[in-house]
Amino acid sequence: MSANAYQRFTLPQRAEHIVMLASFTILAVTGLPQKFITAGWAQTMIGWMGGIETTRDIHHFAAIVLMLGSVYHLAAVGYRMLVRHVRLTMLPGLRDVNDAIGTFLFNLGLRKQAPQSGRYTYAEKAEYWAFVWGTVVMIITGFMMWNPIATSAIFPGQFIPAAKAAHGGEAILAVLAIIVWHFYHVHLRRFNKSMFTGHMTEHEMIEEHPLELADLKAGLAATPVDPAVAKKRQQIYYPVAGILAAALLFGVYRFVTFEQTAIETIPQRREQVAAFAPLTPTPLPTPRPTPTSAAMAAVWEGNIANVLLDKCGDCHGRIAGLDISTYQSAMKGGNSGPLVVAGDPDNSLIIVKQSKKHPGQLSEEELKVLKEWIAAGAPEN
Amino acid sequence: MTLVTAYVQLRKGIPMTKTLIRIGGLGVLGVLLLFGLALTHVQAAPATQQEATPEPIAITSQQQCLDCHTAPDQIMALPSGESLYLTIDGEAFAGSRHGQEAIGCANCHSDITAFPHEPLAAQNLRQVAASFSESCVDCHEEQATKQLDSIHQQMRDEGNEDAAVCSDCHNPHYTQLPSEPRSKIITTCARCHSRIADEYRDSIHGAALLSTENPDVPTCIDCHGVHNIPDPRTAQFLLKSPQICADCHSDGTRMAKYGVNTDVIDTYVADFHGTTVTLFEQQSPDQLPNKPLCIDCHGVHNIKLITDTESTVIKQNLLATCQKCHPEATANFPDAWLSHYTPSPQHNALVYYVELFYRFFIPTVIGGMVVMVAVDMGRQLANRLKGGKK
Repeated sequence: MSANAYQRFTLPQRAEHIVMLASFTILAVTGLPQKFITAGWAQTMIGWMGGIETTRDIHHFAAIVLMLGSVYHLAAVGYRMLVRHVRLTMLPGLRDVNDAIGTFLFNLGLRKQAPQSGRYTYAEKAEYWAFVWGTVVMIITGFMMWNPIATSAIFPGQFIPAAKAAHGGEAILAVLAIIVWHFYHVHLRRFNKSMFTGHMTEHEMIEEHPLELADLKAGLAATPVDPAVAKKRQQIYYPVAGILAAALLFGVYRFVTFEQTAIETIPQRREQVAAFAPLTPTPLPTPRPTPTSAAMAAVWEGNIANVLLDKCGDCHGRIAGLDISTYQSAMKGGNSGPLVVAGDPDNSLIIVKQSKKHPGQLSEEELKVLKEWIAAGAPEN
Repeated sequence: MTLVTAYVQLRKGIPMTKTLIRIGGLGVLGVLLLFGLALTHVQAAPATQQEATPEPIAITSQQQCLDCHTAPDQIMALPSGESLYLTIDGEAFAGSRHGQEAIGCANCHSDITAFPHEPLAAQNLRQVAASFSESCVDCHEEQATKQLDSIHQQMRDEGNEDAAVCSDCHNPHYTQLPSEPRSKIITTCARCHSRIADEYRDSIHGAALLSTENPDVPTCIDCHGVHNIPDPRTAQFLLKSPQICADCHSDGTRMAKYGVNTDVIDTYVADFHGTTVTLFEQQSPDQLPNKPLCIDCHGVHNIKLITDTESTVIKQNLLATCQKCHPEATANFPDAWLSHYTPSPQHNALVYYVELFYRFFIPTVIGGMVVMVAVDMGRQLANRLKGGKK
């Protein structure tokens, strides 16, 4: 720090800014594509970030960092207020409204003198309190979306989509405010490096914070505390702040782990009924019963007749000129001649045919009885 | 008799050891007698053998087939014990598409050229059905090729003989379009998927189809496709499934008749669940969706009208539906879902007013900032133009 420089931000304050800057940016980059999910650019960005689930995880991680930063900020502000009894330079007041109006009128040339600022200009206060407001809204609505079951156990279920709407609206507001307000005032108008270097030159102080400079020169800005008094205050502040901070940190922990709403897989997606459940086929007609071999006798009626009808009747009756439906027609034979040579099984056509491959193959037992019947003269009765 | 048995066994290739032992036991006289008889038989045998290998009768006309196969109740036992029904209704066949186009028996049964027929290689009914699929390709190449990509073919490739082949849906002998009337599609698929068909018949879609042949409701094939039916369990199919529903449900003309909301897909995609599924479909199509699809809340084949007391999404059943995935959800939880309504003062008023608030709040705040910044920029610019003097 050069001789004519004035300290503006301590190292922890500057570190806090970096942490908030990083988490805010990550939240915006991962959050806005989720808000505008149907847009091509949003889907492209989510693709780059490794898909929607990863994008959400990153967003959640950055949210945890932001919440931890907020807890730290409360503790640090509390320490400055309650132990060090610093001036409450960030508190907004009527004066800030006047400053805003004054600046506006001065810029338009309607007022000769620009308002003179103390430690924080009206613009800086507006941004700080907007950030506080935004963070509170985002944490509350974020909790509702992160823990919809817990939320709807107390509030109407509609709070959750309403929280989503507010979270998205607030996000747009925050990002636009950073771009329009913050970027203009500390980057475009004049690059104000004090948040990174920690100090301002006297010239910068005259330009931007003349009243603060006056206070500094007059020794009014510093609020020295007697070490003994400070120690006494610390003895009260540390335990109380420690408990409160622990409670808040526990709150953040519960925020993250309160419920497992999102599940890995959808249960019961599989068909509840069997996919393959064939209908019972129409029963086929039962084949005509044939006498069992054991019971079969070498007689035409009810025995040989049934066997022939069953084994041969499907075709013969219509083909090869053969009709075996009656004794007479069977004995008459077909195109190839008589079926049976009475008394001579081996020369009977039916035996010759049945002794080689022929549809409606007679069983060995049936063939045996048939031969017996032919040998016996193939009688009708 | 022993000789006859021995002969038969010889012809059948059965080992003769036992018979020979018996023959040995008959004694000398018996041996002599047998020898004599055997001589006679051996003399007769060549004649029989010559006749045993006759020329098979060539089948040259369809009438030859029908001569036998129109006889009623012809049943052939397959090695599996199943019965193969061999009777053909000649008149019905003549009236079928194949019959009309003069596609005859031999076009498909090209392995049967003579009588007696060659024995079937198929061991069971499923193999019989599958054995004819290749015949279909000859004429129906497009469908047969598409079918190669189907879940049915995939299951067959995995060795599942039950999976459908051509003839399971298209009876080749009595082919009529399996899709006319549309309700016939259900019967066709039900032959294998009877339980699913039962569910479908009870659904709003099925009831409308079966009672009035309603042309607007989907049958099986409208969602599943026809020949190249995909596996409905894959991530690709599931991720695509909301679009299948949307094809009809965002069709204004079709939905207007029934007063059905056409915003269903847009409101689904706008919600957390639908958003995720949409992105999965685009960016990780191989990953099973871990957020509900239309079917996960509404049901699939058993989908009911939303006012039906059995509907999974009617107010009194909705919590139970949510609890399938969120078992700890309580009574208010289902209201977190906007029920496919775009927020309005009537539906989801809180969401509507929050959105409305930001619609004014954002322009007001940012607009104010822009004005303040603009006049400041103007001032800065004016200062510079004056040469940096104040």
